[in-house]
Amino acid sequence: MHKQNTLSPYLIITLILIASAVLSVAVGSVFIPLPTLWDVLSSAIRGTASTLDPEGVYLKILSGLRLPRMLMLAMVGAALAGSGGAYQGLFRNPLADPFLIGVSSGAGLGAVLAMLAKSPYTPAGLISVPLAAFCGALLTVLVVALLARVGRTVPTTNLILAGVAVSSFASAVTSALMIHSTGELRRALVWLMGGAIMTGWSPILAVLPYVLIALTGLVLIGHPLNVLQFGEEQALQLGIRVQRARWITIALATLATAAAVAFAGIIGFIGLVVPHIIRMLWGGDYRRLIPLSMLGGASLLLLTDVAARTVIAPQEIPVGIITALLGAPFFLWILKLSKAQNYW
Amino acid sequence: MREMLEVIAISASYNHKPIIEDISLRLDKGSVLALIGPNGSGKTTFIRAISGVLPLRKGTVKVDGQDINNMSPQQRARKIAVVPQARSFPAAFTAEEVVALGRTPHLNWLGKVTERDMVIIEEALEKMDLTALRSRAVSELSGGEQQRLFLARSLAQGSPLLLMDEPTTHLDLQYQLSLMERIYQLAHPSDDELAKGVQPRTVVIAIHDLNLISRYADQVGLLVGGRLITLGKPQVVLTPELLSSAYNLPLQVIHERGFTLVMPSNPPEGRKDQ
Repeated sequence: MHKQNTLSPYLIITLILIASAVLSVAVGSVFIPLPTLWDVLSSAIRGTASTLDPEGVYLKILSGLRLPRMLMLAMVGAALAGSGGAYQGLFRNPLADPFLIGVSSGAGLGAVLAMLAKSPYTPAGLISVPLAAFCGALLTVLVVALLARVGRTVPTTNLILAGVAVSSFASAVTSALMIHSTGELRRALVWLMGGAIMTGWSPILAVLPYVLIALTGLVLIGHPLNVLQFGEEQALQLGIRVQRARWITIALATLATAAAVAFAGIIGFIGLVVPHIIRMLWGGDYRRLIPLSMLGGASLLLLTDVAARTVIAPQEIPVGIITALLGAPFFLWILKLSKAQNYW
Repeated sequence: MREMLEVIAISASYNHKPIIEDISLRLDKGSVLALIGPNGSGKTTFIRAISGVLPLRKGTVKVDGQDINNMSPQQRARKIAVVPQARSFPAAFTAEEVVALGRTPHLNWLGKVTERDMVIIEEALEKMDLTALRSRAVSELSGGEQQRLFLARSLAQGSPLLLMDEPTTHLDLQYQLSLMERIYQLAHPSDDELAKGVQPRTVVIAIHDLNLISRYADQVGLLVGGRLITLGKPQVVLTPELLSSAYNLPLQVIHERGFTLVMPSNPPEGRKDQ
């Protein structure tokens, strides 16, 4: 059932991503029609003035707001869906996503701590917030792994249980911190709901190294993840260094999640839903599933953000709320469609 | 014939409970060893121990002359392929993808297969009658088909030593016989195959069906309570005395048309009229 599609999955998803990206920069409080968009961008690249945008208003909107926001969302969506796919493969658990082992909550706690100390938009904040998010995420993973450890191995069930517990703890601390910092409450709350996408070009530059390293690594980890699907013992008998492969995957997925959380707040469902959709459509080979999930995650977050900005315009709904509002029913619908196939 | 497997006085525990004690055996290249014994006698533990996934408490296992403790997982997987009893399989994979993953010890980190790998994967699918099912998802296969799939994966691995834990369960009689026939042929290739450079495999197979082994096993090892009670040719081990005491049940052994049939001596309870 997986290989009957004649169109390449990459081609399909790339087309969807391009369409989402165009929609994302065109739609907003000011709608930019496609011909204008094309003219403005191509003239800007050629260095000439646009005939359809003589005063450069559209160009300002595009370069100052929409393009960086689009790029940030695409990177965050790719990071969340890519790490979600990797976590699902690593734990062989269809419920696994960046939240499951506490990574998101840990990153959230780290980021909130840094935000209370520095504004995220100052240069110090731009460096310290993601760094604190990553430290929080890594610390959470280490604590979870230590708690879940039995002898020299970390059984999956223990890891998930410890993750859920530590995750709740970190969320509770985050909530307590927010209540005590009255002035910061609203901003932190919005951030926790995934409405804190940082825009502008400097956050893009700040997040780029994290995302590049993590996503490249995750794309390359597909084969060991495939072998791990047989279980640890069989993977070892097939010649994989199981513990090493697991730790590399955890490190990469944690890095990706931390970067996403630090620059966009906590956005749920993307990491859970996207890999499942890809798996239902194109099968479980992680060498294909992870890159396709990244492209799909980027598209889905861009589309969700368009909805978040237009539903009750000019007000903006935090995108995390939309991902859950749209993601949950959509996911249930997909699940019902594919029930007979037992795809997992 | 060279020795493929040398087990020297191994003991292994599971959850601090000793399961196998002081087992030694040697197996020549190109032979089939059937491990028999009642439930819980240590057959599965023995297979896990000599495959390198269960640490040994005592003793040494050498495969093709090399101590398995001094080998990396990849080096071990190139020498030993395992068909496990508890099969946990990735349901979203196709049959072909599962067999292809058997090539893992020969692939790099990216898992890129070469033309030669493809040929080997194709042969393994053919050998197990799976070519028609290649694009089916594992979850859509029957128990018997999944069993053949895991055997095909172990064939694709290309390792000279095959360890199989209960490979005939879930198979109907036709496939049980054809599977045992194929296992025998793996260990004893035809002259044609030998001329083409096919290397004889060495097979260790844990099996409950005592009636299949006399015909297909070169050696039979009888395990009771984690100890190897007897090791020898089928006619030496498959005796009423040894089996009756091992299985704690009066058994008789009947030789019929090249098969050795083991059956209870007493008629079934309550049906003495028949």
